[in-house]
Amino acid sequence: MKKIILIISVSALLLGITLYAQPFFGGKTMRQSEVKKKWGSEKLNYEKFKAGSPELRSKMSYSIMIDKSLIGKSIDFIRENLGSPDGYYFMDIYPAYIIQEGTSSKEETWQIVFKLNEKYEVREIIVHKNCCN
Amino acid sequence: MIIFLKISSAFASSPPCEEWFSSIKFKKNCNSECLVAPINMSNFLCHNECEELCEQLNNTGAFYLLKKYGITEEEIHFCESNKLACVKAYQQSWEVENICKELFFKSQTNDESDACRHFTWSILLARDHGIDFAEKLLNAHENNPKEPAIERAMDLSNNRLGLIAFQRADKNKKWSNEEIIQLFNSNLKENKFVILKPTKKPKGDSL
Repeated sequence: MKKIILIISVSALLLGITLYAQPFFGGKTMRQSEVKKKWGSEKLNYEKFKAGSPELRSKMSYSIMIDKSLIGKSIDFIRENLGSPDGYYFMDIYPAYIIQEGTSSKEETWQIVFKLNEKYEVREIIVHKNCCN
Repeated sequence: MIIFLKISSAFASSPPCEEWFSSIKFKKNCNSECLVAPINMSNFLCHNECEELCEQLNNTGAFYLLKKYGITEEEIHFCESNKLACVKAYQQSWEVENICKELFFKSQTNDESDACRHFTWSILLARDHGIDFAEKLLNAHENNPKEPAIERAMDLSNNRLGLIAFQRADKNKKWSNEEIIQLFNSNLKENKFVILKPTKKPKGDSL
Protein backbone atom coordinates (compact mmCIF):
# COMPACT_ATOMS: atom_id res chain seq x y z
CA MET A 1 0.00 0.00 0.00
CA LYS A 2 2.79 2.39 0.98
CA LYS A 3 4.61 1.52 -2.22
CA ILE A 4 1.56 2.32 -4.32
CA ILE A 5 1.09 5.66 -2.56
CA LEU A 6 4.75 6.48 -3.11
CA ILE A 7 4.56 5.59 -6.79
CA ILE A 8 1.41 7.65 -7.28
CA SER A 9 2.95 10.61 -5.44
CA VAL A 10 6.15 10.55 -7.46
CA SER A 11 4.24 10.11 -10.71
CA ALA A 12 2.06 13.09 -9.86
CA LEU A 13 5.12 15.11 -8.89
CA LEU A 14 6.87 14.18 -12.11
CA LEU A 15 3.85 15.00 -14.21
CA GLY A 16 3.45 18.29 -12.43
CA ILE A 17 7.07 19.24 -12.96
CA THR A 18 6.93 18.22 -16.62
CA LEU A 19 3.83 20.31 -17.23
CA TYR A 20 5.15 23.21 -15.16
CA ALA A 21 8.53 23.15 -16.78
CA GLN A 22 7.30 22.93 -20.37
CA PRO A 23 6.82 26.68 -20.91
CA PHE A 24 9.73 27.42 -18.58
CA PHE A 25 12.42 25.52 -20.40
CA GLY A 26 10.58 25.58 -23.69
CA GLY A 27 11.26 29.29 -24.06
CA LYS A 28 10.00 31.59 -26.75
CA THR A 29 8.96 30.12 -30.08
CA MET A 30 7.67 31.54 -33.33
CA ARG A 31 4.51 30.57 -35.19
CA GLN A 32 4.77 29.36 -38.78
CA SER A 33 3.23 32.59 -40.10
CA GLU A 34 5.75 34.65 -38.18
CA VAL A 35 8.63 32.54 -39.52
CA LYS A 36 7.40 33.07 -43.07
CA LYS A 37 7.03 36.81 -42.52
CA LYS A 38 10.48 37.18 -40.98
CA TRP A 39 12.58 35.00 -43.27
CA GLY A 40 10.50 34.12 -46.29
CA SER A 41 9.60 30.69 -47.62
CA GLU A 42 12.30 29.25 -49.84
CA LYS A 43 11.83 25.62 -50.81
CA LEU A 44 13.79 23.12 -48.76
CA ASN A 45 16.95 21.90 -50.45
CA TYR A 46 18.85 19.43 -48.27
CA GLU A 47 22.26 20.02 -49.81
CA LYS A 48 21.97 23.78 -49.54
CA PHE A 49 20.73 23.59 -45.98
CA LYS A 50 23.51 21.24 -44.99
CA ALA A 51 26.21 23.45 -46.48
CA GLY A 52 24.52 26.76 -45.89
CA SER A 53 24.89 29.61 -43.47
CA PRO A 54 22.25 30.44 -40.84
CA GLU A 55 20.93 33.08 -43.22
CA LEU A 56 20.33 30.52 -45.95
CA ARG A 57 18.83 28.07 -43.47
CA SER A 58 16.44 30.68 -42.12
CA LYS A 59 14.88 31.09 -45.57
CA MET A 60 14.03 27.39 -45.68
CA SER A 61 12.70 27.20 -42.14
CA TYR A 62 9.09 27.89 -43.03
CA SER A 63 9.16 25.15 -45.68
CA ILE A 64 10.61 22.73 -43.15
CA MET A 65 7.97 23.58 -40.55
CA ILE A 66 5.09 22.89 -42.91
CA ASP A 67 6.63 19.77 -44.44
CA LYS A 68 4.51 16.93 -43.03
CA SER A 69 6.82 14.32 -44.55
CA LEU A 70 9.48 15.19 -42.00
CA ILE A 71 7.25 14.19 -39.11
CA GLY A 72 8.10 10.62 -38.20
CA LYS A 73 11.53 10.75 -39.82
CA SER A 74 14.36 9.34 -37.74
CA ILE A 75 17.06 11.39 -36.12
CA ASP A 76 19.53 9.62 -38.43
CA PHE A 77 17.62 10.93 -41.44
CA ILE A 78 17.68 14.48 -40.08
CA ARG A 79 21.40 14.37 -39.39
CA GLU A 80 22.25 12.80 -42.76
CA ASN A 81 20.16 15.26 -44.76
CA LEU A 82 20.43 18.47 -42.80
CA GLY A 83 23.92 18.05 -41.38
CA SER A 84 25.38 18.11 -37.88
CA PRO A 85 23.28 20.19 -35.53
CA ASP A 86 24.87 23.32 -34.11
CA GLY A 87 22.13 24.59 -31.80
CA TYR A 88 20.89 23.21 -28.49
CA TYR A 89 17.41 22.72 -27.11
CA PHE A 90 16.89 21.15 -23.75
CA MET A 91 18.63 17.84 -24.59
CA ASP A 92 21.80 16.96 -26.51
CA ILE A 93 19.87 14.48 -28.62
CA TYR A 94 17.37 16.99 -30.15
CA PRO A 95 18.77 18.22 -33.50
CA ALA A 96 18.72 22.00 -33.52
CA TYR A 97 20.10 24.27 -36.24
CA ILE A 98 20.92 27.94 -35.82
CA ILE A 99 19.03 30.04 -38.37
CA GLN A 100 19.83 33.47 -37.04
CA GLU A 101 23.03 34.01 -35.14
CA GLY A 102 23.41 36.94 -32.81
CA THR A 103 26.94 38.13 -32.08
CA SER A 104 26.16 39.33 -28.58
CA SER A 105 23.50 39.01 -25.93
CA LYS A 106 21.85 42.10 -27.37
CA GLU A 107 21.10 40.32 -30.64
CA GLU A 108 18.62 37.52 -31.06
CA THR A 109 19.66 33.99 -31.91
CA TRP A 110 17.04 31.66 -33.33
CA GLN A 111 17.13 27.97 -34.16
CA ILE A 112 14.93 25.36 -35.80
CA VAL A 113 14.45 22.36 -33.55
CA PHE A 114 13.34 18.82 -34.32
CA LYS A 115 11.68 17.49 -31.19
CA LEU A 116 11.77 13.71 -30.99
CA ASN A 117 9.55 10.99 -29.60
CA GLU A 118 10.69 7.97 -27.57
CA LYS A 119 11.75 6.20 -30.78
CA TYR A 120 13.98 9.12 -31.76
CA GLU A 121 11.65 10.12 -34.58
CA VAL A 122 10.55 13.67 -35.31
CA ARG A 123 7.30 14.48 -33.52
CA GLU A 124 7.29 18.26 -33.85
CA ILE A 125 9.30 21.00 -35.51
CA ILE A 126 9.60 24.42 -33.86
CA VAL A 127 11.52 27.63 -34.30
CA HIS A 128 12.89 28.60 -30.93
CA LYS A 129 14.72 31.60 -29.52
CA ASN A 130 18.11 30.39 -28.37
CA CYS A 131 19.13 33.82 -27.09
CA CYS A 132 18.25 35.92 -25.23
CA ASN A 133 15.41 36.30 -22.77
CA MET B 1 -4.51 9.04 -15.02
CA ILE B 2 -2.92 7.05 -17.85
CA ILE B 3 0.27 6.64 -15.80
CA PHE B 4 -1.75 5.46 -12.78
CA LEU B 5 -3.59 2.88 -14.84
CA LYS B 6 -0.40 1.60 -16.45
CA ILE B 7 1.31 1.30 -13.08
CA SER B 8 -1.72 -0.40 -11.55
CA SER B 9 -1.72 -2.99 -14.32
CA ALA B 10 1.83 -3.93 -13.35
CA PHE B 11 0.52 -5.18 -10.00
CA ALA B 12 -2.17 -7.45 -11.49
CA SER B 13 -1.76 -11.27 -11.22
CA SER B 14 0.50 -12.53 -14.02
CA PRO B 15 0.98 -15.71 -16.05
CA PRO B 16 4.20 -17.78 -15.67
CA CYS B 17 6.36 -15.62 -17.96
CA GLU B 18 5.50 -12.42 -16.16
CA GLU B 19 6.27 -14.04 -12.82
CA TRP B 20 9.60 -15.29 -14.17
CA PHE B 21 10.31 -11.86 -15.64
CA SER B 22 9.56 -10.03 -12.39
CA SER B 23 12.16 -12.17 -10.59
CA ILE B 24 14.99 -11.01 -12.86
CA LYS B 25 17.20 -8.31 -11.35
CA PHE B 26 18.01 -6.09 -14.31
CA LYS B 27 21.18 -4.06 -14.30
CA LYS B 28 21.49 -2.22 -17.58
CA ASN B 29 19.67 -3.51 -20.62
CA CYS B 30 16.33 -5.25 -20.14
CA ASN B 31 16.14 -7.07 -23.44
CA SER B 32 19.64 -8.54 -23.54
CA GLU B 33 19.57 -9.60 -19.88
CA CYS B 34 16.13 -11.13 -20.23
CA LEU B 35 17.30 -13.27 -23.14
CA VAL B 36 20.03 -14.88 -21.04
CA ALA B 37 18.08 -15.20 -17.77
CA PRO B 38 17.81 -18.78 -16.46
CA ILE B 39 14.66 -20.73 -17.39
CA ASN B 40 13.17 -24.10 -16.42
CA MET B 41 10.53 -26.54 -17.62
CA SER B 42 7.66 -24.27 -16.57
CA ASN B 43 8.88 -21.17 -18.42
CA PHE B 44 11.21 -22.43 -21.15
CA LEU B 45 9.34 -20.43 -23.81
CA CYS B 46 9.57 -17.14 -21.95
CA HIS B 47 12.65 -15.89 -23.77
CA ASN B 48 10.32 -15.39 -26.75
CA GLU B 49 8.41 -12.78 -24.76
CA CYS B 50 11.36 -10.70 -23.65
CA GLU B 51 10.79 -7.87 -26.10
CA GLU B 52 7.17 -7.45 -25.14
CA LEU B 53 7.81 -7.79 -21.43
CA CYS B 54 10.63 -5.23 -21.56
CA GLU B 55 8.43 -2.80 -23.44
CA GLN B 56 5.75 -3.19 -20.77
CA LEU B 57 8.34 -2.62 -18.07
CA ASN B 58 9.52 0.58 -19.71
CA ASN B 59 5.96 1.76 -20.24
CA THR B 60 4.97 1.29 -16.61
CA GLY B 61 7.87 3.24 -15.17
CA ALA B 62 7.14 6.73 -13.91
CA PHE B 63 10.03 8.03 -16.02
CA TYR B 64 8.64 6.62 -19.25
CA LEU B 65 7.04 10.04 -19.76
CA LEU B 66 10.50 11.51 -20.09
CA LYS B 67 11.61 9.12 -22.82
CA LYS B 68 10.47 11.56 -25.44
CA TYR B 69 12.67 14.19 -23.85
CA GLY B 70 15.73 12.12 -24.60
CA ILE B 71 16.05 10.10 -21.40
CA THR B 72 17.82 6.84 -22.19
CA GLU B 73 16.64 3.38 -21.23
CA GLU B 74 19.53 3.13 -18.81
CA GLU B 75 18.50 6.39 -17.16
CA ILE B 76 14.94 5.15 -16.80
CA HIS B 77 16.19 1.98 -15.16
CA PHE B 78 18.51 3.89 -12.83
CA CYS B 79 15.90 6.49 -11.91
CA GLU B 80 13.27 3.91 -11.03
CA SER B 81 15.36 3.26 -7.93
CA ASN B 82 16.20 6.93 -7.37
CA LYS B 83 13.03 8.73 -8.29
CA LEU B 84 13.16 11.90 -6.25
CA ALA B 85 16.88 12.40 -6.73
CA CYS B 86 16.50 12.07 -10.49
CA VAL B 87 13.65 14.59 -10.59
CA LYS B 88 15.91 17.08 -8.86
CA ALA B 89 18.82 16.14 -11.11
CA TYR B 90 16.83 16.98 -14.25
CA GLN B 91 15.70 20.26 -12.74
CA GLN B 92 19.37 21.02 -12.25
CA SER B 93 20.09 20.25 -15.92
CA TRP B 94 17.74 23.10 -16.86
CA GLU B 95 19.41 25.36 -14.29
CA VAL B 96 22.80 24.51 -15.79
CA GLU B 97 21.84 25.90 -19.19
CA ASN B 98 20.94 29.22 -17.58
CA ILE B 99 24.23 29.27 -15.64
CA CYS B 100 26.24 28.65 -18.78
CA LYS B 101 24.26 31.23 -20.73
CA GLU B 102 25.70 33.84 -18.38
CA LEU B 103 29.03 32.95 -19.97
CA PHE B 104 28.15 32.19 -23.56
CA PHE B 105 24.76 33.91 -24.10
CA LYS B 106 23.66 31.20 -26.52
CA SER B 107 23.61 27.42 -26.21
CA GLN B 108 25.24 25.41 -28.94
CA THR B 109 26.53 21.91 -29.56
CA ASN B 110 30.07 20.56 -29.33
CA ASP B 111 31.46 23.98 -28.43
CA GLU B 112 32.51 25.66 -25.18
CA SER B 113 28.92 26.15 -24.04
CA ASP B 114 28.38 22.40 -24.42
CA ALA B 115 31.47 21.69 -22.32
CA CYS B 116 30.20 24.19 -19.74
CA ARG B 117 26.84 22.46 -19.42
CA HIS B 118 28.39 19.02 -18.90
CA PHE B 119 31.08 20.22 -16.50
CA THR B 120 28.62 22.27 -14.43
CA TRP B 121 25.95 19.58 -14.27
CA SER B 122 28.53 17.03 -13.11
CA ILE B 123 29.57 19.22 -10.21
CA LEU B 124 26.00 20.06 -9.18
CA LEU B 125 25.06 16.39 -9.24
CA ALA B 126 28.11 15.41 -7.19
CA ARG B 127 27.46 18.23 -4.73
CA ASP B 128 23.82 17.42 -4.13
CA HIS B 129 23.62 13.67 -4.66
CA GLY B 130 27.13 12.32 -4.16
CA ILE B 131 29.82 11.21 -6.58
CA ASP B 132 28.45 7.71 -7.02
CA PHE B 133 24.97 8.88 -8.04
CA ALA B 134 26.45 11.58 -10.28
CA GLU B 135 28.71 9.18 -12.13
CA LYS B 136 25.98 6.60 -12.67
CA LEU B 137 23.40 9.09 -13.88
CA LEU B 138 25.86 10.90 -16.15
CA ASN B 139 27.04 7.66 -17.72
CA ALA B 140 23.47 6.46 -18.15
CA HIS B 141 22.57 9.80 -19.72
CA GLU B 142 25.36 9.47 -22.29
CA ASN B 143 24.50 5.90 -23.17
CA ASN B 144 22.34 7.00 -26.06
CA PRO B 145 22.75 4.85 -29.19
CA LYS B 146 21.69 7.77 -31.37
CA GLU B 147 24.43 10.11 -30.27
CA PRO B 148 27.57 9.99 -32.46
CA ALA B 149 30.45 8.30 -30.66
CA ILE B 150 32.75 11.28 -30.95
CA GLU B 151 30.19 13.59 -29.34
CA ARG B 152 29.57 11.08 -26.57
CA ALA B 153 33.31 10.91 -25.96
CA MET B 154 33.44 14.69 -25.62
CA ASP B 155 30.56 14.72 -23.17
CA LEU B 156 31.96 11.87 -21.07
CA SER B 157 35.34 13.56 -20.92
CA ASN B 158 33.90 16.89 -19.79
CA ASN B 159 31.66 15.14 -17.27
CA ARG B 160 34.74 13.41 -15.87
CA LEU B 161 36.54 16.73 -15.53
CA GLY B 162 33.67 18.00 -13.43
CA LEU B 163 33.68 14.95 -11.19
CA ILE B 164 37.46 15.04 -10.76
CA ALA B 165 37.31 18.73 -9.90
CA PHE B 166 34.68 17.95 -7.28
CA GLN B 167 36.68 15.08 -5.81
CA ARG B 168 39.89 17.07 -5.56
CA ALA B 169 38.32 20.07 -3.92
CA ASP B 170 38.04 20.72 -0.22
CA LYS B 171 35.22 18.64 1.28
CA ASN B 172 33.69 21.74 2.79
CA LYS B 173 33.61 23.70 -0.46
CA LYS B 174 30.12 25.12 -1.04
CA TRP B 175 30.24 25.04 -4.85
CA SER B 176 28.21 28.17 -5.58
CA ASN B 177 27.39 28.95 -9.20
CA GLU B 178 30.09 31.62 -9.20
CA GLU B 179 32.73 29.17 -7.96
CA ILE B 180 31.79 26.60 -10.59
CA ILE B 181 31.94 29.18 -13.37
CA GLN B 182 35.31 30.42 -12.11
CA LEU B 183 36.69 26.89 -12.18
CA PHE B 184 35.22 26.31 -15.62
CA ASN B 185 36.94 29.44 -16.94
CA SER B 186 40.31 28.48 -15.51
CA ASN B 187 40.04 24.97 -16.98
CA LEU B 188 39.04 26.48 -20.32
CA LYS B 189 42.11 28.73 -20.28
CA GLU B 190 44.27 25.67 -19.64
CA ASN B 191 42.63 23.81 -22.57
CA LYS B 192 41.47 20.98 -20.34
CA PHE B 193 38.15 20.47 -22.07
CA VAL B 194 37.46 18.33 -25.10
CA ILE B 195 35.77 20.67 -27.57
CA LEU B 196 34.96 19.43 -31.06
CA LYS B 197 33.94 22.83 -32.46
CA PRO B 198 35.74 25.60 -30.60
CA THR B 199 34.28 29.04 -31.16
CA LYS B 200 34.68 32.24 -29.20
CA LYS B 201 36.00 33.20 -25.81
CA PRO B 202 33.56 33.50 -22.93
CA LYS B 203 32.10 37.00 -22.90
CA GLY B 204 33.79 39.53 -20.70
CA ASP B 205 36.87 37.45 -20.20
CA SER B 206 40.29 37.46 -21.83
CA LEU B 207 42.10 34.22 -22.59
